[in-house]
Amino acid sequence: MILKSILLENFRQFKGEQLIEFDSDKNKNVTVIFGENGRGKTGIFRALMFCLYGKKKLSQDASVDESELHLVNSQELEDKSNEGKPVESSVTVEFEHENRKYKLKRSLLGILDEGRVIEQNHGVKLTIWDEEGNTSIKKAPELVKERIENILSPALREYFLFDGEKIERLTRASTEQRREISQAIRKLLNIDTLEKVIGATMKLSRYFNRELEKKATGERAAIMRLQRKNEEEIETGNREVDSINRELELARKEKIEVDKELEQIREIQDLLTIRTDLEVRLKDTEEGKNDILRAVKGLAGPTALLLLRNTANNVFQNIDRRKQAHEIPSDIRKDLIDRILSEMECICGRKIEENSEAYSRILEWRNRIPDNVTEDLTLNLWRDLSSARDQFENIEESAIQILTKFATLKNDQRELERKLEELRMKIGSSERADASRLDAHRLGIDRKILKLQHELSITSKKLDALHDERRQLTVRRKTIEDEEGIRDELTRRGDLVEQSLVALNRIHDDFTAESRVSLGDNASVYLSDILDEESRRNLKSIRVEEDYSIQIHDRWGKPFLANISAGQRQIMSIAFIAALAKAACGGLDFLEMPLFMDTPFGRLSHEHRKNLVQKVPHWCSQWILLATDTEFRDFEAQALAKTGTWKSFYILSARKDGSTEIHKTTMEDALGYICQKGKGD
Amino acid sequence: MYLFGEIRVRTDEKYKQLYNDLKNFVFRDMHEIFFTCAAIGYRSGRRIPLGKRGDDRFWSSTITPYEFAMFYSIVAETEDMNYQGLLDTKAVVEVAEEYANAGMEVLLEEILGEYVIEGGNGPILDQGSCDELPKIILAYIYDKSLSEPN
Repeated sequence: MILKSILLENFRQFKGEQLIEFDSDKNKNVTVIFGENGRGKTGIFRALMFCLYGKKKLSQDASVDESELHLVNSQELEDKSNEGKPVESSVTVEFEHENRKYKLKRSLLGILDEGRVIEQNHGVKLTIWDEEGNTSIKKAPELVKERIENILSPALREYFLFDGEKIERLTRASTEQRREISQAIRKLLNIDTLEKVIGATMKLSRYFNRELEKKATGERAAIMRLQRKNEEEIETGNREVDSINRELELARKEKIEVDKELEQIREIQDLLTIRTDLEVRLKDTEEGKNDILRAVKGLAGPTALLLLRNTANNVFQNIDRRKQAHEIPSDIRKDLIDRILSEMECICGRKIEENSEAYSRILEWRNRIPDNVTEDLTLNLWRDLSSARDQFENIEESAIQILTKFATLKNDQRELERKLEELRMKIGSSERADASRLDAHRLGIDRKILKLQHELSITSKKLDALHDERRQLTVRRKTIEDEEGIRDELTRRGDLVEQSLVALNRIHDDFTAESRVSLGDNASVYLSDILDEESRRNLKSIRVEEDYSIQIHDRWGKPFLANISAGQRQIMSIAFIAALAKAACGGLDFLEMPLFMDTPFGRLSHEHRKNLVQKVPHWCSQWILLATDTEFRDFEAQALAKTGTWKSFYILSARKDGSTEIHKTTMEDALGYICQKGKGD
Repeated sequence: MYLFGEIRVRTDEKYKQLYNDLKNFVFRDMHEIFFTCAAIGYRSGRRIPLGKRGDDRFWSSTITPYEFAMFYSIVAETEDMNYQGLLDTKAVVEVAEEYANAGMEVLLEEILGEYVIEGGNGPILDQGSCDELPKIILAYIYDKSLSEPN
């Protein structure tokens, strides 16, 4: 399979029609698609998976509900929703496989209904051109599925089209992962067919045994009855093992789900603790505010004195000035002047004439002098104003202090309320989840798993004993038949079937064991190609274990998986994926399949990255690398350029409306761009 | 020591309930509301005689010496620093009543308007909206004290 192009129309971040043409020349087989996180690299990977398999979810979406995943471009949906029209979204992939050209288009219709996105499939069309140029079109989804799965089966697709998440998961020795690898190997080796033959042979063997039992007599008949019973018990035992394994798997899955819920609740519990703390602080703040409001009640009246500060100052200064001028208290008492005026004689004895100048002056003087009461009142006022003026500063300070304190508390209150609102949004309805109930449930699951594991162990031992018994019974029966010289046709055929069954089982076991060894060997070769020097000294080989888990061995041949770094784990996964892909291509040294890698460099060291970009182009017919600006920098770009295999470079950049635009450029321009970007950062 | 006995201080009858409400929510006593209003009225240069609408509100004995000093100062300033007016405390209180009457009008126009509702015989505080009114009035008084009088 060679990918030629992918055309995206209103798909995820890609508004309108946007095209990527993949390089597939023998010597120029690397296409790099470059974009910052969130710009749509995974959108392209998703588009490919959607187009080929109609698959919306990727392995990284395991915890996302499919109904929450929307593929139709949201901007276009909003634009069209104003016109009440649906939006067509499609992905068209063109590729070649075994001298045929294929064009596959898969569409969706999306509409925005009261803020809710509704999407539905809108058909699929596969056009095929054969060597002679004849065209055939398939529109029935089942036919398209069958055709595509024949080219790249779903069991294998994840080893050609994979993302960082897949790489990460591959080395985990979970039951699910082991089964996935085992399925991939069985699919690769066509073991399914062999297993069908073994099943049919077993049925035939049972048939012969039943027929022979009918004719058998004496000890031979007794042994055959025991053999039948043994067969039945083995069958029951196998069914039990399958059933226990299924239950175990369900229990483990359930435990994972419960753990996820508990994790969520734990997060919420942390949030609830924070919320309680915030609520206490908010209450304190409100109480503080109320205290201030009560204090203000005693401060508003005195503060009002400040309103007349100028008036008080003016009057105070006026009285003060008059005091300084000795106008008040007056030097001469008013009653003395009154006596002079009534006696018309000065205190020196001189007579005062009415209407004389002296008389007028004394009269004027008398009018200027306040009476005693007014004078006392004025002096009182002067004292009170003096005292009030002393208070102004204190009053002002108290008012400022209390207003500032109130403003601070008010701000604190607003901030706390804002944080609480945010927390309420985060906590949402899951607050009701009952952590203790889940904990109890989890404990129950744990006990169930332990019980099932115990049952599995007992049943497996029982099965081993039954298999031993079976072998012994077979030997005893054979001995009797030899002793009694039983050589009839039915017995001979039965023997033949039994021998075939043993041989087929041996072939099956040998073949899978051999394949596991071969896969491990190939993966080890790839591993040594891309491991950095330091790791190469210590890590020697990859092994696929009998239970299909992947193991890495150190230079002394000891399992070392538990000790390797995240980056080494990724390298190991990539080497194993390459080995699987090689096996899928019939063991060819050069893979006739594209390797489509989405963000594979996350945890790799410089040397690992360099080795990877230098080696992968030579492993496969086509390499499509989706990389972020943080993992594909000047260093990696230069290393890839040196291979001479890289031609096209696509940049995913943001448009003003938030959608993503795909720009095509050459490798040469790309090197400049990446170098510039590196300097800019 | 001023020359006054017990004088009934009056306000416009329409402000009767508002004085009661403000005493409950914002101030400690009637004399503080009265003084605040008189000070605001004086600063605003507004003076409204009570006429027949005058309604006894509280006894002048509750007015503090500082407040009285301010009322006397208003009278002295109004009469070009003639202190003869200090002799007639009743007249001083009447002047304060007129300024307080106008001051309440200013207070309603500038700040209280959004916290009152019509109560039939005059404005009353809308108690649902006046939680922070003490602080709002304090801030208003303080800000006003910093501004130039009209």
